[in-house]
Amino acid sequence: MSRTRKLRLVAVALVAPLLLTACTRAAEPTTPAAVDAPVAANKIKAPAKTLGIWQSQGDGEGQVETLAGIKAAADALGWKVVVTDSNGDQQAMQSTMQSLISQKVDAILTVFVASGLIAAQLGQAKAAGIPVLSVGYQGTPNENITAEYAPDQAEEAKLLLERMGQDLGEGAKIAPIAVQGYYGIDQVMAALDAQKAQYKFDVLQTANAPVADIFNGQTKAASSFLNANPDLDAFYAALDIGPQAIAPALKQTSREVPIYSFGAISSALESVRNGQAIVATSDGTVKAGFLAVDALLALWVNNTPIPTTIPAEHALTYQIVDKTNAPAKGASVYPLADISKPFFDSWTTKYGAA
Amino acid sequence: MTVESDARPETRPAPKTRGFAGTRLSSGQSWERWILPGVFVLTVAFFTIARPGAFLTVDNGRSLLQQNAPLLIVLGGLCVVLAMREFDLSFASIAGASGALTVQSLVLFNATVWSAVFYGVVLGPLLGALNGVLVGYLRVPSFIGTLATGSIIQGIMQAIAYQTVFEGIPNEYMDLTLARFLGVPINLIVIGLVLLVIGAVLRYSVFGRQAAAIGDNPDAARIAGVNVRRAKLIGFTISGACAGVAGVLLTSTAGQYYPDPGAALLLAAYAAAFLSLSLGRGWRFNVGGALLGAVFLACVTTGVTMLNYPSWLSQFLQGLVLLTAVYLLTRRQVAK
Repeated sequence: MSRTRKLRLVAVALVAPLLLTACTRAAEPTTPAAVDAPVAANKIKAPAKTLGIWQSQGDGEGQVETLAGIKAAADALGWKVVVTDSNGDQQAMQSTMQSLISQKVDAILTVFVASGLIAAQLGQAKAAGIPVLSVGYQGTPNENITAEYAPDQAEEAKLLLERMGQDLGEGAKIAPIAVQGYYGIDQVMAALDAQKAQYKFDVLQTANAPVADIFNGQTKAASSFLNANPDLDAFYAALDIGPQAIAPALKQTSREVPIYSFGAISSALESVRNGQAIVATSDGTVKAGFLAVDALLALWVNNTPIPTTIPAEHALTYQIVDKTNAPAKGASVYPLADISKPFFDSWTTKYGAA
Repeated sequence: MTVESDARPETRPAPKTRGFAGTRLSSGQSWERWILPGVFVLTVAFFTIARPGAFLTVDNGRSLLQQNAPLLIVLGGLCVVLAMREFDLSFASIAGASGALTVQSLVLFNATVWSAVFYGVVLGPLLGALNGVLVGYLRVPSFIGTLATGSIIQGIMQAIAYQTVFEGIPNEYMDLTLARFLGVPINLIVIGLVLLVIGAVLRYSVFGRQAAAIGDNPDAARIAGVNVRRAKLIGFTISGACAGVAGVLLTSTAGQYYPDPGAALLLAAYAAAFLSLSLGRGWRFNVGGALLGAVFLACVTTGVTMLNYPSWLSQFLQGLVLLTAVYLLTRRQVAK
């Protein structure tokens, strides 16, 4: 056997197991923590459109929920959806946005947008007449973003701080953990800063996890806080993955310090159910996709201008989730079926069945 | 543990002492060699005084090592590759793929904990061997070759785990990094043993001498009868194996799979490995120095957090230390 052939065989032997694994995964049913299904809907009469979905980091749990909402809404209208994911790569964020503009999609929905990184592309989209709607997460304000439909993180923070005030009392020592560079996170940190005097919290210096080490960075910071502060009363985790990132530090140090965080994503609910975490959340993460599609449908059918913020009749709801009201394992705080039904009913009434 | 990668006897004439850079304390050692340990001791002393009863404690030391266990294990493999003057830019992706495969095996295929760990760990050397074939046999430059394979592996990892939240991981898997023997986490004991073996292999074995010879001059090593291709294959396989173990540790510590878990290992490992140069005899990567470098960098991060200083300070200090160490070593080399 020639050397080249041997090398080919070795290469095939190395790659084959990986391909096999990947293919096997593709054939598997959706994972246990996947987003629940929307209510079954008849197709609604709507003009044929293509939505471009731009995601900065599509594999986060919250982003998955937002995308599921968008897809469910678009599917009911028979709209085509082109999904892109930049995987946190700043270069890719620009190129994926550019590709959506080049494909001449009818509208672009951005999920977890850092506007400054794609400012030029946002300008191009506006020039091309493509509406850009920021959904699910608050992005850095930009004049070229047509509308934003996302939970108000400052509102969530206010709710959470009220709860912390009730639970912890005056003088409680709080360890904040965050990541720099995201508008929504800045909002919840600003809320803590503004209201800590009201509750007389002793707030430690914020530990910012590096973006490249967003999970372990939080775990390491939590460990340091725990070891340096035997009297620590609580963590204030700005990211929705905070509870799951801090939990290993609690386990390793055998400590029981409550985690106050944001967003009822599936893995955070594990910590909520066992009493480790308390989260402030909103239905906006999922509902945002429906709101965006609703606005676009009204624009394209009735020529109704896109509301720049969430209309009053669709106001988001906010709540605290703790172990007393946490949903059972596998269930969501805001099931997709519950969120989708009013929209499907409304669209069928307004626009008729296809 | 301070084990150098060069078992080859020093044949070059001893450097002449000339001014700052060549000052010698004793035979074969210049004072720059003690920079890293010295700064490390001073740093620990500073944080200990600043946070008495919090920084220099068993609990904090254990937490610090536990959190950095994946980094420590990949350093072993990286030092082998670097000793041959090759780069491995794919080990972080390999760690991520191994973690993804392990957790996927547990949750989706209901594999037992040990068989899932086996799959994850075995994936590491397989992918490492792929790098070894590319670099050693196909003569693809390691820098770009492993960059490419890292990208490919990352793509496959996303295919395996993309947009997936893995729940239902058995507690036994998470206990892998929590179990202790005489108060010491068992995973740290295993990592210590593995690194001891790698360090000893690099310093005392024929393979270690071959690696150093290849690092000095691959053509000369080939003419001297060293099987350079095979040595590179072995080196990259070891690096992949260490990354495979790191992937399991990452996901076990976290108790779940999260996107791209190995991403943060890449730069941290290279920073620690380059700090090890200050403990080697002139630009020699060594496991002991790399470990000291990694622990030192971790101490800075932990100390800054404990002292309630802003987070940016730790990255600033880490960069400053690395730059200073490499600068002083460069001066030493120029002097020689």
